[in-house]
Amino acid sequence: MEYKKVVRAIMANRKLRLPQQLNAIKQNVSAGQYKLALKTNPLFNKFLHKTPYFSDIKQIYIKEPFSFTGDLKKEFKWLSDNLENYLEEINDFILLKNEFEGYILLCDYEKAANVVVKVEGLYGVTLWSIDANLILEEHLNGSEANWNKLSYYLGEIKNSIYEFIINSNSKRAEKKLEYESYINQFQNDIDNVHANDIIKDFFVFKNFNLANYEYRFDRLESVLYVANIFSVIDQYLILIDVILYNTALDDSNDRLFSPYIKKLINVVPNDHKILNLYNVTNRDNKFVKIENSKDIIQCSNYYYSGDFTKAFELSDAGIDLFPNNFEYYIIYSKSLLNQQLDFVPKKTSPLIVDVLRNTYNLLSFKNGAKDSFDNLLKTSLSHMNTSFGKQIYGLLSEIEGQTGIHFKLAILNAPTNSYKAPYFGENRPQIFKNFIEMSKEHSFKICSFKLNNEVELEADFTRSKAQELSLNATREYKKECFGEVVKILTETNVLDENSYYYERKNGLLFNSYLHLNLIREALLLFGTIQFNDKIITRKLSFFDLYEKIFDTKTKDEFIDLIELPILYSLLVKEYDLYEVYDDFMCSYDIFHIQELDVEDFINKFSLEKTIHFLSKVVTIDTIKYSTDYDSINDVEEDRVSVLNILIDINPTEKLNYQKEIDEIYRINAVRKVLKEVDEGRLFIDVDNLKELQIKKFKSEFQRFKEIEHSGSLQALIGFNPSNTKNWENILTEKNVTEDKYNSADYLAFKNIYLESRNNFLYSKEYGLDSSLSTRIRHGALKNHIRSVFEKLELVTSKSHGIYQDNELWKNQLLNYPELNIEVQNKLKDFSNEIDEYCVFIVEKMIQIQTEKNNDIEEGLFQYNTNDKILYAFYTDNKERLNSVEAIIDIILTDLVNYTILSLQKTIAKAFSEIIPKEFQDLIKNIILELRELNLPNECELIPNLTSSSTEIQKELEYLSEWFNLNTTNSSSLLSLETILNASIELTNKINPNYNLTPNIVIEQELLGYSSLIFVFNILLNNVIQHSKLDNDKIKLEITVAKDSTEEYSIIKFTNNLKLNVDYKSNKSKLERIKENWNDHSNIERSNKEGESGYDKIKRILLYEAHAKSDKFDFEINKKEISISLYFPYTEPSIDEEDTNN
Amino acid sequence: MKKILIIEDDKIKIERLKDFFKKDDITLKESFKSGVKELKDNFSNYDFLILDMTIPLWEKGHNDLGGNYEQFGGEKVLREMNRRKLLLPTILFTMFDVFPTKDGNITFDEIDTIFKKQFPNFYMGAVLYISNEDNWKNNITNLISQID
Repeated sequence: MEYKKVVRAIMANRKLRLPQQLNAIKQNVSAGQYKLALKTNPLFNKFLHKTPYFSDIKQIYIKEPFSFTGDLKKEFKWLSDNLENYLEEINDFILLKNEFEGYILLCDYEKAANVVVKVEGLYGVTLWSIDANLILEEHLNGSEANWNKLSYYLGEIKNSIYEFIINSNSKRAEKKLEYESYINQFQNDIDNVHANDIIKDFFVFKNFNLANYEYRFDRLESVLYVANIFSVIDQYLILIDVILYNTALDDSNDRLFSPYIKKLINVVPNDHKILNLYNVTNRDNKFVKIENSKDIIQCSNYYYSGDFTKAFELSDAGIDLFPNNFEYYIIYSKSLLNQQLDFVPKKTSPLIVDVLRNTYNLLSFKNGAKDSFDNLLKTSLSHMNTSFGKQIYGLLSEIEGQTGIHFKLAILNAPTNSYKAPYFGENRPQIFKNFIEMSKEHSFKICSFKLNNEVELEADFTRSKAQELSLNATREYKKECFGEVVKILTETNVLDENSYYYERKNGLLFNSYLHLNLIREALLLFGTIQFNDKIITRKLSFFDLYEKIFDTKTKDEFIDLIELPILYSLLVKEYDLYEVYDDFMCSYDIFHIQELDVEDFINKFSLEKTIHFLSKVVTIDTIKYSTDYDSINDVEEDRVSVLNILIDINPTEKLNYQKEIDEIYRINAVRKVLKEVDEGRLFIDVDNLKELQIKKFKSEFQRFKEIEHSGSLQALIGFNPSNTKNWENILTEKNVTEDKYNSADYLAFKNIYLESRNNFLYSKEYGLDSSLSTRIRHGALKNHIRSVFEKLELVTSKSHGIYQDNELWKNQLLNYPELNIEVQNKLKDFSNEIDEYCVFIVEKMIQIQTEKNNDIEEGLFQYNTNDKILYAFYTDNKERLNSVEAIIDIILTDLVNYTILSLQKTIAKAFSEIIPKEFQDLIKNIILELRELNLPNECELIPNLTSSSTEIQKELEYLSEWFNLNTTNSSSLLSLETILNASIELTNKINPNYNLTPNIVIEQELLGYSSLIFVFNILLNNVIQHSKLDNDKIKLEITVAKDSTEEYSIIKFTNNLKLNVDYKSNKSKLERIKENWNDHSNIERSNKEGESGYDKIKRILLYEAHAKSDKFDFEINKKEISISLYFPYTEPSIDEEDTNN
Repeated sequence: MKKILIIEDDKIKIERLKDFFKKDDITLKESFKSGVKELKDNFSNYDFLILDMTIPLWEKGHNDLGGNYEQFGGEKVLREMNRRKLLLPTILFTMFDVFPTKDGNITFDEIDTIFKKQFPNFYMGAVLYISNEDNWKNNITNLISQID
């Protein structure tokens, strides 16, 4: 009487209100005494039974589930006790439910609808009736009506649990939504709702219990707990499903459920599942006959006696009479297949015919019937909450060699007694006594025999030799006499003649080989199965074979089999595949793919296997691990050779192979362009600069020469602006400047030098600063550096001036909300530090410094000079300064040499020491701070920061190569498509959160220089920045075409825009750009950061790409924007000699 | 003076190792390719190998557009050594105390245990490098003393 004490204590606590008192009872009273405890106060039951049904949709509310006990017994008793008052009504409901399911199978939706109306009239609105209504809408009025109905429900029932379930119901009902799509959508939904474990278990169980999903509460106490919130109808359906699940899993809760099931067999006899549960679980050797079982047993008996004609006749009639018994469908199909007969369609409902046809096709295992599995999966999903759906899924599990939970659930869901009951015998020996009445039935005996139970079977138990062999082999397999299985199955070819048995034979043989560790035999059989294009095999786990091989110490016994790398190619890739590929090749003394004799391979291994080997094993990703290759280009060359061999030996796939070759060439071309671009980022056109300066300094040179000549007679002094001025002391102190620096000839030279240097550095056409600005500073450098951290999810971008939270870490720290806040704050600081330092690098370090602007102290490009240096330079070269060409050549050569020799050392040092150190410090600091927070093990933040430490070094090392000065333009003309591809590749690389995949339409083939890549980069970055769209929303099209007048070639970028964003300012900017397109007076602005990218485009087109565009246009509306660059089109001149040839 | 092969690409770690082994004769390789090639050609010339876990596949400038980073490049080197019987005593030298994989994280200790089991003939153990600590020096010395 312990409960009395507990209840008394609860009642004595005046702070507890009624629901709290009930909760305390649920938590503290033992499960077996709930009923007694609740009787102590009539208010308890009054509260609990306030609303058993929701009379209409508006009445639906979340009934009180109280607190979760985490105890299966308590949750089961709490729920089942509360249902006891309603069992008779539930029994009546089950009758109507069965009626509804029958009408659905017969596609009689009107009658089915009437049943649902009746159910809702009697028992109100339930999850069951909502599901039924959605199914009916889908079938009667189509998916749109289903969605409208869903929308109605969602509008009326504003509760997340209902919403989730109803949404899933609607999707399951959708005829066109494939099984895979449902799984994906469901998984997305479950991931996104971030439900707690209890609710998550419930959602999965209620909406997708076909999956082999790992439940956190594996006995589903969580599901029972959530069930409390629904109407009693739903509570019952969920309760029985949970009992069925547990019973199919094992016998550990039979004692808990048995008394309740025993009670139900008398009160809810309409539910056949209860009767099956009782027959399997009771320990009283009791058996309840289920109506109409005799017919299916008789039909099964005929089938297992090998009388397939009779079995077919009975199953044919059985389907008409009992369409909800899927066992008839199986025997119908197998009887036809045993007689090697084609499918015979029945005159019945389209749904039944469809299921029957798919069952026949599935069991035929013919390659042409691959869809049947998916079709049946879809049907089982649509009927997931019915016994019929569960029976179908049971067959699908069996086909895949799984006779576990879903297979057993199918037996428990059968509407009749099942001869397959012996499958429960392993854990429940009592069932053979329970089923004593059925044990004389032939099909029951055969099932027992298969499962290696003691059973007396006549010698000629079947007329079918194939059936006999198959059953004997199955029994031996169950006995674990795998050698015997191999003997039975390899002694004769009888099973090879019928695809139904051939599939079984292969399954048993393959798994026996695995058990016997006969890997060579298993691999050979794998090869036979894999390349048999007529048969599908589902029971084989090639992964098991792979694992067996993986665990084998030596592969010597089978390393010469081509099946080995072929098997691996189905399951692994990259180095894992390379290992066996290399071992296999070495076993034939082939040390390089070029040594392969294809004819010999085909003779040795067959054409099909050679084709698979060459196409799927000898790929770039595999062979790249060979140390024979020094670069990826060599790997690609060999892959192209392999693809050419494939074109010869497998011409039907020529298009695909050619496509891969084209893709390799495309990637190769893109790589070359990117290499050329990187190597030539810092480009000073010295030849043009020379030409320009020779013209420009002609008169100055003459002046210099004149001064030099007169100076040789009498020293001329000039004004040297470089002299240090000390205006305060100038009147009292003697000017200490050496006279030689004021010599007129030196000053004349100095003028030429300084101006020449100025051109070298700042010429808008050919100077260094232009290169720095357009190719390095303009986004590129910062984006490259930032991309390292972005890729590893270590920095976020700003929104309205504030760094956003990082979603990845937020999800990984979902269970640690306070820790997450600290981590996010630290990452925001880190983002800010990285960004600030990037800005510092670009704005302060990648700058030119001369004595004129030595305010930029950190500028790496230091071209400072002074009289001492310059005078020494002057005197060293004075003798050679005898022509304008010579003087310009000497000055420019000196500047180039200085840039290449001295400056590049400084830059290399900056990029290998100074800048990396700063980043290392930033990374080290945040790691130290994060370590103090003791992040949970599953959080990958610190490993990612550690990776960034090496990654940033690599990136900086790569970036330092951008500063290798190029003085000759060796760029070749490339196809515009290649340049566009390279530009997209580069843009995506430096924007890891975006992956632009534009549709490129080339209507006119054009050629251009690689520097056009910078033009396209600016346009692509504009798309990312100005469209304000997320990565997956950007739709970009790039067209290259002639305009209608044929005067111009047009390159047009068109992309969509974010709705409801004001683009007025963009429009007015573009108008100004259009208006001033041919005005190049402001082009020097292009060297300043933050100025329009279009000035940079103009400069690149004019001076670097030699592709001056004299027209610019744009269109902008609410939905999209397009930018067009116009290039004057000239017809290619025809070389007469070529034409003549 | 020992002859040591180092397969490592992190500049800072390289400098620290060079300093630590300054009295020894060291050969540095910075990628899977160059490392395995050197092992294939000359493994018997070395006393032991110091191996990083995350190394690039290719030498600089020879890689594909898709990147050059092999998260478990060190493990692949060990597998090549095992397969080709290049049984040179090897010390794993890494700065990761956790290795993220698609099946969840593996800790430094776990990976050390796995490798000891998988490559018992030549794998000596792992040493964790933490930039602001010097414990790694003692740990490496201990492992080297076992080789002797």
